[in-house]
Amino acid sequence: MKGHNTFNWFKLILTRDLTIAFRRSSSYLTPLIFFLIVITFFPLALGPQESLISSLAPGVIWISALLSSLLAVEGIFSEDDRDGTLDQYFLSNEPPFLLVFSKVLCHWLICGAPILLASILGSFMLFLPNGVLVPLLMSLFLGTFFMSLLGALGAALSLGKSAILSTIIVLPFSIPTLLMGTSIMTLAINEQDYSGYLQIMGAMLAVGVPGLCILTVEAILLRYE
Amino acid sequence: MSYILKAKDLNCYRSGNTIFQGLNFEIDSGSNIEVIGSNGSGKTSFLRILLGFIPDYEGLVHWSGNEENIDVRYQEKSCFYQGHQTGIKPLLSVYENLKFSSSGFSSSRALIHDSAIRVGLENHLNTPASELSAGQKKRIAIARWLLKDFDLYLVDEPFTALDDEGCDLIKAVMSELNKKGSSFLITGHRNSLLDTEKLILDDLK
Amino acid sequence: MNKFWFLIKNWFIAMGSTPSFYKWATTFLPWLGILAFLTFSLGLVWGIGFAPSDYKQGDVYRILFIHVPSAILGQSIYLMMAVFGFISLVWRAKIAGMLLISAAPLGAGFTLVALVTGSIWGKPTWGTWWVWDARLTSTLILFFLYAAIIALHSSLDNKTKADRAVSILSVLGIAIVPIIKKSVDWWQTLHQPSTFSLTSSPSMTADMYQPLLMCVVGFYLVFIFMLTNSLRAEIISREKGRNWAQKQFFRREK
Repeated sequence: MKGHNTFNWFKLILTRDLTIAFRRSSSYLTPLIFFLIVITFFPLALGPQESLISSLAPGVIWISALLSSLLAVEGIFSEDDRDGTLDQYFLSNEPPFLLVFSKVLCHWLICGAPILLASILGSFMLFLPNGVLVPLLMSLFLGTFFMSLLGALGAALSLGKSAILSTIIVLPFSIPTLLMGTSIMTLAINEQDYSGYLQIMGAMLAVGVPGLCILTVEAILLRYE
Repeated sequence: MSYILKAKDLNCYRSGNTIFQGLNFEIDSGSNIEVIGSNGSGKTSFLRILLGFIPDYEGLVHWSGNEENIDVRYQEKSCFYQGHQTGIKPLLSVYENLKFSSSGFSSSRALIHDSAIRVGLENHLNTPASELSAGQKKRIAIARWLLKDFDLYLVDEPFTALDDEGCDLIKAVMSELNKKGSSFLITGHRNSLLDTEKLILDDLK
Repeated sequence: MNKFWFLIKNWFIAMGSTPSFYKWATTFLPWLGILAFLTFSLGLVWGIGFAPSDYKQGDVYRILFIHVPSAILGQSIYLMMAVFGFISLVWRAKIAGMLLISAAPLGAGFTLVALVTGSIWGKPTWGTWWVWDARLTSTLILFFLYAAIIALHSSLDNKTKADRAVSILSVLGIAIVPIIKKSVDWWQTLHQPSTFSLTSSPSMTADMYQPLLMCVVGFYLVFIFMLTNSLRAEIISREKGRNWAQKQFFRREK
């Protein structure tokens, strides 16, 4: 059945990419370590007073998460492009949207998910007030997934060029996520209702998954013009 | 005899230069064609036009089972393609490379084992491909051909970087698959002395 | 009436082909330039020289005559680029892509002028060169959006592919610009409950409004002039190998 084949194909790409990623420990350790290093730089640069660091904590965690997510996208498509696997994907007559989505999912699993866990550590290092861990994790979950989507688009547009270029292209589009994520944290710290912002972030994700994946497919197809 | 793939008056231009023109051929079931050309004669471009990766061509490419005259990009192609870069992932073992290919994902363990034995890699099933020699990596690629039967196999330069034993292996596998009705369109830069129809691209400038 | 629409439609189709655009642009460019220069300088001189002083801000507010048109242009150019991007993606019109990339540095330039003049306006009125209010921040983000498009286009060597890549980016950009504006507004109100805007325009009398309008029109004309010029250069640089260009400039048949 066609539907069964398509799901199998999706599973194939996901399983293969995840297996390769976990073979090479640097794929999931590097974003994690980068995240922690950036977090460490702020107290180092600004001084270790608890009051200062604590007020900066939500912003610092968000900025570190954003930067690590965006810088880790480099290999998403370029490796497959170089060894001919990308050709195979387009030859298989399966919807390329699923190819992009599985790459995004894989990227999130090896980059966004570890960051989510590391942010718990980060919240202790930066004296984040207790009780705001849950909104932090919820907003970071939505935010890092959106970052993976944007990162995939950036990687596809700048296929083969430097990682920094793909970051510049995509960074302005991540500003709403940053603003909303940190607003959620500020509201949570002041014990106000943040659910409105969460809903908007969720809506952005819901629109972003089909929209950004389709744009990414267009960007990859540029290669075959 | 019904053909699997044919091309008529195919012209290829890249960056304003004529790569080849006036190419005509037809492949029937169970027969092979070898495309010979020096470097830069357009062997890879030729294959990529047939697959629909290069929309910039003139002429007719027709895969059987489709209506004539529609662009090759929108035709259904039942083929196996192996490009110049074979797509063998260095971090995966031989077994995993075979299992995680589109022909192999739904294959049973036994079938994958048999393919590996056929190409002589049964002792390396769990070795990562990065630890194998270039010739052995090519053998993994050959094993992939055996996992599922296709009407047409398009292989770009299968004999490059293979020793005599490897070349014999390819010839044997090709004749086995020919008997099952599959056809091969391979490219190369020198005559492989296979007993097949030849298409010499250098003559078609 | 039908003939009129027929002519307009034909003009649009003709403009889509690069040789005819080039010919049209070459003929009209001097007139466009004179008109643009006249309106632009008239408007600025009227505003900066002759409009009455604001009772609150004194004479400093006059920088508004540069700042406001630049800001308006910066934003509408981005919208225009998104429209061209859409046309280029859907109808594959070569000239739409070229228009996009020719407009990008102009839009970035106007945005930069808006930022700098906004900064200059702020120093005497508020005492600081920069403040993170909603409008200046959104303008800064807009500048980064322009920079992203210019950077991506320059990094790709095949200019046709670069055009399409940049079209994707600009279409995405226009979808996200309202979200950016809204979230910057919320960010402002969240952290500073009393909304204040650095560049709040003084309440305008007709005496101030008229020169401002003329400045806006003048800036638009200058932009169209520069865009046409830039597009001519882009057409030549890309198509110098083609027959029509060879015949026209080098009197050579290819």
